[in-house]
Amino acid sequence: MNSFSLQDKTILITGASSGIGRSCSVECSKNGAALILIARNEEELQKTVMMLAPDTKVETITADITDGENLEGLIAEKVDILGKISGFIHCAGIEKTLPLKKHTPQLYNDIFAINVISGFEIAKILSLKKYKNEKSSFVFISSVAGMVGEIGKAAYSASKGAVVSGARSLAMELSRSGIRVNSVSPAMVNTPILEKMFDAIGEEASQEILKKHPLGIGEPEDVANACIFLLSDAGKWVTGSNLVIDGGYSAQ
Amino acid sequence: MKTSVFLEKLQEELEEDQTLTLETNLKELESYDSISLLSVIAFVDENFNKKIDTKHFKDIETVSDLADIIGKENFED
Repeated sequence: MNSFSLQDKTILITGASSGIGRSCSVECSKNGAALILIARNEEELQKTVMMLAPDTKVETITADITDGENLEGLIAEKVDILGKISGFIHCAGIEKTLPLKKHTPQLYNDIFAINVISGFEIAKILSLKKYKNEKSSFVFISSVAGMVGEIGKAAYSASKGAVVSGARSLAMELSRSGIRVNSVSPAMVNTPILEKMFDAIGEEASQEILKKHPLGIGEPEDVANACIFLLSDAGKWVTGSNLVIDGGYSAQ
Repeated sequence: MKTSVFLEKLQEELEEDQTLTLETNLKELESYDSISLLSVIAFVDENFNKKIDTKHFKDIETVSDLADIIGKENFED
């Protein structure tokens, strides 16, 4: 069998209603995975479902993952239907470009709640024996902003750095349970978040950012393919790593 | 908002020593750069509950241009 195949694996994906999360859903389905997709926006989530490879086994959960109370129950229901989980991609996230003096504790809290805490909380659930397959792989979407500095991104880059370092510790702790944990750090990818950011910072600053990408900005599939590698048996010796997929952005 | 209050608040926002008038050219201010642009957008949002489209910023030279984009109806005098 192709070692990049996700056949017979059930993968849970957050943020599946748009951008990188949507693309990960589609590409994982093409590689044979069964999917549990989570997002807040039911309508957009259904659009993702329509885009999946034909005959994909898929279950959806419409929920705010920062409100973790009933999340385990919702996931347990889906595991009963599709079987135990072999992979998780945390794509849900928010971005905010604001000068430091406009940052507030609320902003840090909001960004960390979704980008970091909800992902680790779901990892906690999926590391329990009753929900996990013998082998499993968790992938957290971070960002190059977690590695290099960018103006106006104090809270965002702090959250993405937290994802990378937290994932490393999870990798150490969960290896004994047969779970690999890695992060993926993309630079600018053609998604609704990027469009929103470009609108927020204006054309001049947007052009500056584009210039910093030797291979231009990426497509969501470029990130999804990295996730597939990490989820698949091809990545079976990879844990605690941060895979940089950035068109050369951080090489300079 | 009174124009005088707007001018004071904007000056404070930009941490500018020079007193601002409607004729002040923002782009020529010592403190004005790409971060100021983000500050001004946030400032307008906070004070006028209005999101400025950054596409307009190319056309903004003076404080008066900015006030026009915020909308005359938002000023009392």
